[in-house]
Amino acid sequence: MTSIKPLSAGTNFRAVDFPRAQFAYDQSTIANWNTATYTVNVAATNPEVAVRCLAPTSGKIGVCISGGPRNNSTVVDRFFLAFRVLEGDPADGTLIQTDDAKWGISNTATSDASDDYSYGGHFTVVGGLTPGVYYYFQSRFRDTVAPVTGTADCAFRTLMAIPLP
Amino acid sequence: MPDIGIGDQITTAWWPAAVEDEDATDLVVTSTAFIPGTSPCDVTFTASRTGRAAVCVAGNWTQASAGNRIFISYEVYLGTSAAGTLVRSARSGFGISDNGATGGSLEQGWGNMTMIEGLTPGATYFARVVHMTEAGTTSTVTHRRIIVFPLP
Amino acid sequence: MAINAGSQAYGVDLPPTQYDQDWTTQSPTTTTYTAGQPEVGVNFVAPSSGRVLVTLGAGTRTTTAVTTRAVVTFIVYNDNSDGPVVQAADFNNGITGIGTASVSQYRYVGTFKMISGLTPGRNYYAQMVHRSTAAVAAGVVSIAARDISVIPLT
Repeated sequence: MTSIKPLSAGTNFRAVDFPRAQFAYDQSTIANWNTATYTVNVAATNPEVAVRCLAPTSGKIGVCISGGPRNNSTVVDRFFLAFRVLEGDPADGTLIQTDDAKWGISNTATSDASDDYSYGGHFTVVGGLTPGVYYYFQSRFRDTVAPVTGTADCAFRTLMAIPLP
Repeated sequence: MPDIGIGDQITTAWWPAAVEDEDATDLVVTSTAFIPGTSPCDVTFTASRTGRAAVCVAGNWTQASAGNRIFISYEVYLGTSAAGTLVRSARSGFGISDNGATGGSLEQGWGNMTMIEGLTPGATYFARVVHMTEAGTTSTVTHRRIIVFPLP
Repeated sequence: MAINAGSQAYGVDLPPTQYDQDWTTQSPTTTTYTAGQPEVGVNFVAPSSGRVLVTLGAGTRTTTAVTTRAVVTFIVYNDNSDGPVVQAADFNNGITGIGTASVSQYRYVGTFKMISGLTPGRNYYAQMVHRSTAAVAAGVVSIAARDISVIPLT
């Protein structure tokens, strides 16, 4: 992997120093979700939300994922919206960073009957990427793992990738 | 809009200043449509040559009106005030909201970041925080923040 | 100051982004801010604009039916955590968990704050700190997966 150097004094910036930032969003609501393994989309109702971003010379891309999850059952249930990072195309790309709730967003899982869509975002940095290589940032979602048997929803998903110094 | 080219020297046109505004005035939220409120939280910014900017909104609030969520989001206008053309209307999904607890909830807070693109390079824009509630009259926004910075 | 038209970029214009994270569960019991164990923090160099964006992320929960919540925020010091405080801990700069009197599971979310007026080229330390909104027994309020990043701004 190319050694990552900060921008040097007196250097002209080059295109590879700051590839363009990317943003995708979808306003549909994922409803009554109870699948505990990460899923990309719900055919016909909720499309994939993903972006392809070129890694800068720093090897760092900032990712902000956001959405409005909620519990819609009477048991403590959470909707997790997270992202994974693949190199190149998702169909044949190498997995660089797996999905994890800890760099995503979720609802509180209270079984309060009025629990409703609660919007917020979470920004983290993905580092150690190879400059000049395309990476695929793919949001995926899941419900709480068994034995919980509730369902949850999520309204409005966004995903942003920003090449960083 | 052109991306940053090979060999380009960095200039203020590519990277105008990042800007932030905050307001700590407590605002009782009664409007069921997005409004800026009586104590504004807004910024004026210059669009970069890429025409892209990141907008962060963050806030703290108390949802005392049981079951009725507070929403905080942002609007963007061309020019230096809301008298200009609206280029992005407020959407709850670009902002933040609480979860609407039955009995109401005590102060909580977090933020969100989204992108606006297609801005005219070099033009001046006005971005402001707006808020609303689903219903009720006793919920309060206690702190609001907006940050806009240029994106490559 | 902003980067001048026509000027070449210098390393000091946009120093590297710095970031840190830790997933060790923290369990605040008092209203006094603590950095926890391990600390989550980054050293960073201020850019020529004197402005940086600090982003935070955390998962928070309350495991009994009380309104006590986690507060997660940050402090900025000159040089290191023994240095003078440049930005004191302020809950308005951070994340405060959902404040209902009900049991909750970890809610993961983030927030954003600009720090300005920093001295270009100077070294600073941004440290995450947390507390609870009231005195509470250990394990009632928990914080998982803290993360911080500091991004130079123009």
